[in-house]
Amino acid sequence: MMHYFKTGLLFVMLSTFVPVVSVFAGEVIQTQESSSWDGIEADLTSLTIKNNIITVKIKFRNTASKNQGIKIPYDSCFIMDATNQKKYYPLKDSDGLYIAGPVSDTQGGGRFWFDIHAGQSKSLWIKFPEPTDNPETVTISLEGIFPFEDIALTR
Amino acid sequence: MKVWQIVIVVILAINLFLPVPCPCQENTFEVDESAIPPEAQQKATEALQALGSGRGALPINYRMVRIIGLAKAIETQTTEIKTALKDVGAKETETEIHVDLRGDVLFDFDKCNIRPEAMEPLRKIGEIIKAYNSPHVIISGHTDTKGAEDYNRRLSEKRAETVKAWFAECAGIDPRVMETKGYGETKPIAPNSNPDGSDNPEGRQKNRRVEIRIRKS
Repeated sequence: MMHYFKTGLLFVMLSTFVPVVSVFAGEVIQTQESSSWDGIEADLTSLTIKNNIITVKIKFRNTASKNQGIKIPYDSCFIMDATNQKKYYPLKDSDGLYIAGPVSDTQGGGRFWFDIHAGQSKSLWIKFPEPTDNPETVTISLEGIFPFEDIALTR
Repeated sequence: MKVWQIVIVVILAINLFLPVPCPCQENTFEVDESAIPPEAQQKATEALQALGSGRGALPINYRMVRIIGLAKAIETQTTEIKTALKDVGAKETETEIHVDLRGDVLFDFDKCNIRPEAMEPLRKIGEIIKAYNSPHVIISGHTDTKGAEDYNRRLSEKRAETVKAWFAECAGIDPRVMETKGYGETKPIAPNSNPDGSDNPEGRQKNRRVEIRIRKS
């Protein structure tokens, strides 16, 4: 009887670790401040390459004490291959919309325009073509955010 | 104390020092708001194929090419452009052209649809942007202090966006060179009220505006 009690108690206590540890599980590749919105920080949380398509995920965190309206037209985002002096805009679907999200409205091919409350965060994702010249690193540029530079492309 | 009792005490002690999710903060845990729809990769593959072998690459200095073209644009500035600059009351410096458009001319009260009367000045500004091959146009909306601050900020953002959309759709200007900002009532150019505290309608009228800064480089 005591054996079952001990096992159950241990299971309950260990299970409390799972959600807590997941807070720290999200990897951040690089963090940049905003050049336009006070207190907004952007974490590049993921960059993957599949079939010559780069997918990036970026999380915006509002560290300020007030609400911030973040507006990023997807047509202003690009990745830059400085080595070969080339830049690449997000991929567009057959309807002329950028393959990115979330999308607040479709003006200009789609925009990320959301309010982020103090202490809260919101993420976006964008799909870019992989640079043709196989550079080792790229710069990721979003309007209103200082560029993410020297981001390694691990294939 | 038995071994299992020690283990339990240690685990409980560790738990005390770990952060506990607060139910009042929705985003304490990583919520995957960036969930990518399954069809996105397929669409991206099709888009990539449509781009061909170059994958849509542009030279980094393509904006610089435009700037180099600026000198020629200035040299060959036509009479029409000079007239347009004068007509819209543009202020020109070495680095940029600055145009203020009255909000009352551009928009009806509390609206963000462009009025028909505003088309002509906007068309002239569009011609100026194209003549200078501007690499960067900043369109900023401003309001007076009537109404809630947050509402005014939103309204000014929408108005700036409307002007950008008009330039893109009606004047053929690349939306990628245009940036919009909404300042609401935070950057007045005239007092909204008189020293005695009474309303200053003339000042408020000046503050309701859209500023367009056309960078030359």
